[in-house]
Amino acid sequence: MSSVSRRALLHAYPRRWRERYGDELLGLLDEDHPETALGIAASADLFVGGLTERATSVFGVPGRAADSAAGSGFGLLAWGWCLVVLGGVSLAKVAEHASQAPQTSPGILGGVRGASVAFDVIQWCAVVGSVCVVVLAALALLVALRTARGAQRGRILARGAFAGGAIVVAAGFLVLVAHAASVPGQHIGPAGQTAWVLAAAAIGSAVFASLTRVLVAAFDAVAPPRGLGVALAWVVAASTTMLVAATSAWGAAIAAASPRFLTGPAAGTTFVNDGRTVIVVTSTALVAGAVLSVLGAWRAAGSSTHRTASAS
Amino acid sequence: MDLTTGGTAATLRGRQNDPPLLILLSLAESDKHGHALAADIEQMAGVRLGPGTLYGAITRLEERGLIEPLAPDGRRRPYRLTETGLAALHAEVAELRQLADAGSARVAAAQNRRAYRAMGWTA
Repeated sequence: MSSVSRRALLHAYPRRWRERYGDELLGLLDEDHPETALGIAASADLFVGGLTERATSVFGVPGRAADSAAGSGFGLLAWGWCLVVLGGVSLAKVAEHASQAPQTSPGILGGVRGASVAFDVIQWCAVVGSVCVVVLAALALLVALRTARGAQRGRILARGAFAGGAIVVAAGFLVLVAHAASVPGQHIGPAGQTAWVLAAAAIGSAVFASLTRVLVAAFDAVAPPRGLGVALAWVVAASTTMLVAATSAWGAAIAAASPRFLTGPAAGTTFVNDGRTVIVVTSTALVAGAVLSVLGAWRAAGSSTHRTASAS
Repeated sequence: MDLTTGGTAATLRGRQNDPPLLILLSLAESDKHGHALAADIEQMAGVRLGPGTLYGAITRLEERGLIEPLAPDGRRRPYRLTETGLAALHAEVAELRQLADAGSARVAAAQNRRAYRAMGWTA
């Protein structure tokens, strides 16, 4: 078998593997078969070996603990932001009627006016954090698609298709339920409301699960954008932390100015009429989200430092 | 022993089919590059590892830190057994010895039973 054919067979192996072992393997083949053809058995052995290495490079992560730590760090960040978004939606619902809350005293932090300022801060934190998460996701997707090859690229695209499909199906379901609820005299009832919540949870899970996997794949794959990725992760973590602080200030200002607002039915939602329950769920989601975001950024940054130190 | 054709002890060694173990055993003797490894393993165990099998095993062993590459000599790159690799090989050989001892005892007992039956005794 000619050296051209041997090199062609070598392409059964992943690029990184060829760069590391390719010359050695060709040298071995030239020593074992200096003038003769490789033969079917050796050719098949090489081909199967190449497929095995490709499968290992896609599914296995041997010796890549630092990269996995970075990936899981960005994954934590994505899940943290997911919780903050859920808490934020709930907070927005609670705050809907805050400006009309009866003010019994000016209270601390400027009463309702102070709460309004705090809510502006919350909104800005949400905008900044969301922009960073979107940029991170777009960056991750681009990097993953640029660096991934073959089956790995297919897996990334499949995850994107899964997330997109889940969004379409769940959104369609939500529209149908909402339409049914909007028809006069027709109520979706508790079962419909539960289904609505489950569908919303499915959307969130599908999108963030896929986002997490794409982030992991992207930041496992290459180093160059990692500095930017870590910087964005810290901005997200800072945004979530500041959002929680501003929410606390908002809650304190509202509670001082209008003590009965947060605990009364005004703060309730369509599904839960008890304001206190809504406040507890909202606070838990926001705080847990902020903690996860900070932990994620910390882990991603720590892994990046570890990689830099190892490389030097 | 080749159980289907009644071969020799050499064919028993030839049935050995654990490339990573064979590579570790070969490197325990001395540092070797790919071609020397394949030749030594063929002489030691009577099995010729294909190029893909050999380098697949080398890749896994290097990833696990059981062997390490040395400076290349042209297109040849020798490999050396690491301390971790030596410890892993020691454990593997101890397991094989335990299996071989248990097997020897059972073979001896079976031979004795056959000898008793041949002489009309009951064991």
